[in-house]
Amino acid sequence: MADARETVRRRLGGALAIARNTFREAMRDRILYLVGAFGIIVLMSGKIVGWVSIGEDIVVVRSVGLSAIPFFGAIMAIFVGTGIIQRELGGRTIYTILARPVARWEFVVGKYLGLLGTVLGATAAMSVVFLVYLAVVTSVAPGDPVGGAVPPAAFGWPVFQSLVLSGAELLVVTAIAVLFSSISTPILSAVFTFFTYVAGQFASDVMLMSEMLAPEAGAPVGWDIRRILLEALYRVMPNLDMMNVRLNSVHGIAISNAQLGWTILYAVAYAGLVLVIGCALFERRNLP
Amino acid sequence: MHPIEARGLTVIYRPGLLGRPVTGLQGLDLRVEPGEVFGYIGANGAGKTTTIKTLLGLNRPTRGEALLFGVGSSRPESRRDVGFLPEAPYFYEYLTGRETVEFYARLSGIPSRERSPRAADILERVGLSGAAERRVRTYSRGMRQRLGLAQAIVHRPKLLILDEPMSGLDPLGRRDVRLLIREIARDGATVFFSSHILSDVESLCDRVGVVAGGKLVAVGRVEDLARARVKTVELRCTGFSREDLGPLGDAVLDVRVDGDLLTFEVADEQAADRAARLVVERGGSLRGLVPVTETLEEVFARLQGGPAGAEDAAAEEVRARG
Repeated sequence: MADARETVRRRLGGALAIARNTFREAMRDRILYLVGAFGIIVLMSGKIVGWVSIGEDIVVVRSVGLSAIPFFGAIMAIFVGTGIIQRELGGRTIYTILARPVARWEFVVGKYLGLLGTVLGATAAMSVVFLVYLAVVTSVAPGDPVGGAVPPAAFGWPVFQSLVLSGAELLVVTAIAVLFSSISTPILSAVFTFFTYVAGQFASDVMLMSEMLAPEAGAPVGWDIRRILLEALYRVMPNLDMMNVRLNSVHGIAISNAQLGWTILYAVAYAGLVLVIGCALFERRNLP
Repeated sequence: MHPIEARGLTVIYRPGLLGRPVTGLQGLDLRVEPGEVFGYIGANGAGKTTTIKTLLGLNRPTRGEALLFGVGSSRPESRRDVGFLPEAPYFYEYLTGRETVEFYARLSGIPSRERSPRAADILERVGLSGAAERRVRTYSRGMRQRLGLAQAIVHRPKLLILDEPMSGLDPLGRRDVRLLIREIARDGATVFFSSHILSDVESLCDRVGVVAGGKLVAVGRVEDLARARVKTVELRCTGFSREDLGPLGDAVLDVRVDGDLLTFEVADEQAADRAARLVVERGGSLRGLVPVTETLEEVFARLQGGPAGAEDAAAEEVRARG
């Protein structure tokens, strides 16, 4: 029993040491700051767009902000994350780490946690900037002069829900970036991760297309390869669409706590599964 | 229990998806005894680094098994008491020397309260205490090598695996590393190191293994490997002249005269018997009879199947001596 506890302590210690180091490393990556700064500029530019949408400026500020935060978070995960394991291989820093009593899965999980900490930290910073900005904009022009659809509170529960689900989305995107990084070159990993991210945004549309191909009531049920492929794609791809509640939040509509909970659970389970696959593939690799 | 044991170890790579399979190791059998300093020599591409990577679980064996302290190399526990210095070690450039050593100490499971004093002690030992707070990116090649040694020994391993530890170091750096290896061995640790620099291997190792074409072609004590083959026999005598050597014919290879002392070499031990008898028959005095054995470099070249391996080693030796 004591031995098992000691093993768990060592394993967690190894993964956390690697995570901490990855966080340190990522914080020195200029791309992170570049993307972060660009993200902040974009979310503040919502006000400019708001000027041309008469009476809807706060809605636009909210909409731009809530969309920019997860998007730039995902860009960070892709830029920093897709080279995260290959850089260790190329720089040969991995040899001295894996020559320790450190399992390969600890290495992958440590890298993931470190990157996730960085991306979530940067996203949290963007969110704080956004919320402060939103509070300032709202205090200058409280309420919606047209229909009163936008509640005056800047930090309402719907906005918070949207930000939390943006974090859940990044949980998944970061795991996908690490998975591809463990098996492929940084450029290919970035391409694969980006396409998976984009495809995930349209998961519901894929399901809709599959349903449209379903035979009408009374028609004979046959094999439709297009429908099977679309359904398979829907099952495999991350349903990032599910984590997008921005439209509701912008209009101050909250989703149910059950839906919030299930969506977070889905994100955690999906990211976990992707990491397990990444660890299994990395486990089999011969290091050059 | 042996610190290192390889049984029929075979590693076959496939570079890329469509690449032809390349054999890195072929049925390698190796056993390193506790407490010994074992030198592992071979030409470039002979399989030294592949052996080390497979022992450390960085490569997966295609066949056979690699064990560290009796535990399979794919299991992290096998590396609990192992320190490793790769060839030309790379570290995180943004960490300081102290942070680097503490990071590796943490990976080895050293409790947090012990890490800092242990790192300070080790950095002092490898001569880096003055640069402990400098970032690794400012370190010279020699300093990185010392830092590599520091991280390898910070957890006081029972087995130290060093891949070309002297490569690229200046003479003083090489001497320091040699002294450190001796010190570690004196403390009871087993040391396994690969090298091109045969003089270092000769001066440090209890035993040597020679690898060629992914196979272990010879293993034994340096003296035994070298003495196994007598190249020539040197005789020294007085009261015996160069002209008296006539009956030995072509068996005589080299003759030197220094006053009354005549020194000559004959091709083999039979010729040496005949020469010794001849000296006595002609009224001379035999002062010495010394078999001239191969040097480690010559053994190495012969086992590598030609002079290429020796040329590699000789070139490396010249570089190392600066």
